Amino acid sequence: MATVIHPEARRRVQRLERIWLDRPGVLGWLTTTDHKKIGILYLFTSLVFFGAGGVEALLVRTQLLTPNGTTLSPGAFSEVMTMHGVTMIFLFVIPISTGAFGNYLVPLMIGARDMAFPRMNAFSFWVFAASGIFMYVGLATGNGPNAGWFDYVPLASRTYNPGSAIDFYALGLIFNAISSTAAAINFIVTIFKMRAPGMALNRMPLFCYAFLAVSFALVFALPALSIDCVFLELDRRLGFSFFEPANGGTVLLWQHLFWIFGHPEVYIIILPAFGIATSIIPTFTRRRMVAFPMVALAEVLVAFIGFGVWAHHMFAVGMSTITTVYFAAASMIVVIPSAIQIFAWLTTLVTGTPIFKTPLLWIIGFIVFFIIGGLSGIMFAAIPFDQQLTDTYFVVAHFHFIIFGAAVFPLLGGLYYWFPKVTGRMYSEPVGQASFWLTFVGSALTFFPMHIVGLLGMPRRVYTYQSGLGWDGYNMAETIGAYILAGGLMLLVANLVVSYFRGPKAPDDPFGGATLEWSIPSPPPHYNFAVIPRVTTPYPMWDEQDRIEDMRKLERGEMVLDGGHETPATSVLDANWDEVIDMPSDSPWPIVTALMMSGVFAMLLTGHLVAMCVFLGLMALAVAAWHGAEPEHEAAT
Amino acid sequence: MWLGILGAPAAWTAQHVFGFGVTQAGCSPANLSVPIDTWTLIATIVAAVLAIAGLAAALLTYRAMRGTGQDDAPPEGRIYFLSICGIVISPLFLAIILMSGIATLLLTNCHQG
Amino acid sequence: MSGLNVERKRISMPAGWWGTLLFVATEATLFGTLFATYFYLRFNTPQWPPAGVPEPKVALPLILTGVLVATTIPVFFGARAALAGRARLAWLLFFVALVIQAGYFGVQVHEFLGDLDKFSPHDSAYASIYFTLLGAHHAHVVVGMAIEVWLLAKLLGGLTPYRLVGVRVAALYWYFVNAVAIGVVLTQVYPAL
Repeated sequence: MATVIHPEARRRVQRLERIWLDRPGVLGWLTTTDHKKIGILYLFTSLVFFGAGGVEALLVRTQLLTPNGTTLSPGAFSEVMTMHGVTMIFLFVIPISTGAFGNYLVPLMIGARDMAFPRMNAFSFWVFAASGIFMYVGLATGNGPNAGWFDYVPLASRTYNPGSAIDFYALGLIFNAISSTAAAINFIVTIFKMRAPGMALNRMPLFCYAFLAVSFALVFALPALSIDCVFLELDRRLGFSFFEPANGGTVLLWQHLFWIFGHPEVYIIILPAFGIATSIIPTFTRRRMVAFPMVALAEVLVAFIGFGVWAHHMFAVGMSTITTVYFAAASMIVVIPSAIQIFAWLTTLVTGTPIFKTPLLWIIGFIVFFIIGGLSGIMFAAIPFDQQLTDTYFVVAHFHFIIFGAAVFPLLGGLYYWFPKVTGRMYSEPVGQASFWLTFVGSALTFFPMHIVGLLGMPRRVYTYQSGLGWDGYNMAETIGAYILAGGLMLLVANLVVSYFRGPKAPDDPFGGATLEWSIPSPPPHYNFAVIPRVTTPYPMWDEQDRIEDMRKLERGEMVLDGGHETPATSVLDANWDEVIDMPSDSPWPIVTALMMSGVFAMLLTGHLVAMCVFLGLMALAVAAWHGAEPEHEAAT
Repeated sequence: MWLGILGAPAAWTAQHVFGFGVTQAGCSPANLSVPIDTWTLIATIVAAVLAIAGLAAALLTYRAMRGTGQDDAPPEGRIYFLSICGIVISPLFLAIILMSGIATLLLTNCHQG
Repeated sequence: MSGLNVERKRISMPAGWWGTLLFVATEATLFGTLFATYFYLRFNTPQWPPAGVPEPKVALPLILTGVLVATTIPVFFGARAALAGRARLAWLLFFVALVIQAGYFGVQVHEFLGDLDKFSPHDSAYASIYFTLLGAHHAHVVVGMAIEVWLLAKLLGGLTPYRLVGVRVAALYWYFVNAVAIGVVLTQVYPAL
């Protein structure tokens, strides 16, 4: 479908190309509102932060290679360990899954030409980048956050942490939350309103269900973190008493609010991985996903029930059992939706004809890690067990199996899977498989012994340990595993970089995928679809009749929407045609607003409140200018 | 259809937040006299009834849409799809509601654990 | 354009409205956590308000909130007028709402500063959550007024479908602020009830 033969069709495509022409060069990238370019920006930025977080991890592991290690001082260890957590969660995994994969793929999968709010999309990216730089300025100036990624008070209070390290943390996270909230709102409205006509809820790809769940979770979870950080800054900078027991405050307030955010956050981390897995499995097993409604439902349920389990991170703080049982009960039941998904995936794999190419290998690795990590997780739902093992390496093992094994493996598999679509080139399959195995073995060696050493009593977050406790061998194995893991990742990067420049040209649909992104050229044109596609099942690429009908429509000039930067809007439940929307093209206001907002946060950090107000005013002006431009023509129907 | 998908989750949310709040109110330094068991029992029963109503609604919708395929055109296909979701959701939430309610009633109030 | 029915027939609310609805959901959650914090701290404190802190006034806050909630009426009718194409009437109604809201805000700032003189967030968790909750609410009122100022400036140029979405957005935002105001005032005066 890449070459357009019919002259009428070719003329229409050329018209679309002219209408959607991008501004070239660096300025083009700074002012872009194209969801695909923004996805690429997110991808590279989050990969840079992945590298930073990875270096931090290797530093931690090297320090723990032997007892009484001397690689890092205790203070440095605290900073490196904290920044490892903060970077990996807020600056790598969330941005790459929502910002890179979500941004690039969701509009393509629903048959739209862009997100619902393209300029806000760009704004989300620039704010994310700024928030990452903001926090790393702290690290670079010797003020790296150092109280753990969860930053408990009183360690994080002014009394015990007088410098500005925690201010970088708190303000940085509020800043980052603005980016994620804007992105989440964008996804929800896009998925609700911009689906191709005919794509009712029962015909929407599972990938989109995962992102819908992620976005709702972000919208409802982030305020808890933001207000927690606001309370912390008020206590630290203005002497408020939220967390001061002497004045009626309580440190548990921080913990409750943090985990009301923090638990949904971990489901936010894993859900995009579920979405990617449910995209790759049907393609490489040549069959539809088993129990489609239940998998869609499970993705949403995991996020929903996940809001009710937060106090399982606090089973050891001294709350009464009549309180904690609510959370134990919900924590046990939240496993069931995940189990539904696992059974569906396994059944699809077993009853289909699996093709063991690199993307599927990563997904199988994901399933292995997810099952083990999920089992260790459910064990924590039992309060007595949790109280024994809280704050030990057993917990570290559990969440790394889940975050690295189960959340990151599908991302890496997804990088391979969609690489041909995004770049137009094929990666090297043998090197791809090698990179998988190296990473898999490295991960298993790094994180599995942590279960054992945790059961043997090794606490978390310690900068060193004594010898003779039986922990030495395991720690050494974990560090070696970490370096092997790093090697596997380097091989992956090398494979993709070399293939980008030298790989063979990729066809539009190298794997026989089921969703709409495979119906357009590789790499996609700016306007995505020459014809707004007709959708009758969740596997549109496998509906030959519909795709042939689309080609005929292009020739006849139906559903081409080439009157301007146009895309249709549809109704929420059933995707009935509603109106044509005129989309904005390149705009400088998103990056300008983000820069002004950075000024606000920088002045909040340094305490220059007048300057902060100036930046706030400039930001308001930028927002007014942003909304000053109205759509060019009011398209009627 | 809506009661089928939203009834049980709403019931659980209400029982969870209310129950948590009641235990916090009753067991905290403020020493407010709160009849924890009574409130917990009421909340659990109301929530359970609502969850069962949700299940019933979902089953009825499913029966009404018998003969529809999963991929069918909206609104029938979409209603059928969401009714299946309701049938799976309601028992799950009913389980959490009953587990937490019964456990809270059986345990000694305000005992630290 | 002001005499014609500009709003085309639609089957689903515009994207901008949905975006605002979700933004309202985030902010509502924010207020939810503030209310939860208030009561969590209350449960944690035997004496509420603590010794030395005066009980909150009841009459004035309730009356003020009543005035604010009453601005829902001009906002609602202003939005209806805009959708019917009556630009001048819409402008007038939103202007009336803005004036009343500004008056409300002025009195509230005066009360806020007066309270700060009487008790300080340095000394109690009660004061910390009291001032933060009220401050958050007043900040939302300021943003709402700013949106109205922008809208009034735009409407001087007449109605277009784009500006109609703006009207719907402004109205939705104010319905939200006014609804939250009821929760805020009830929480604020709760110790005196």
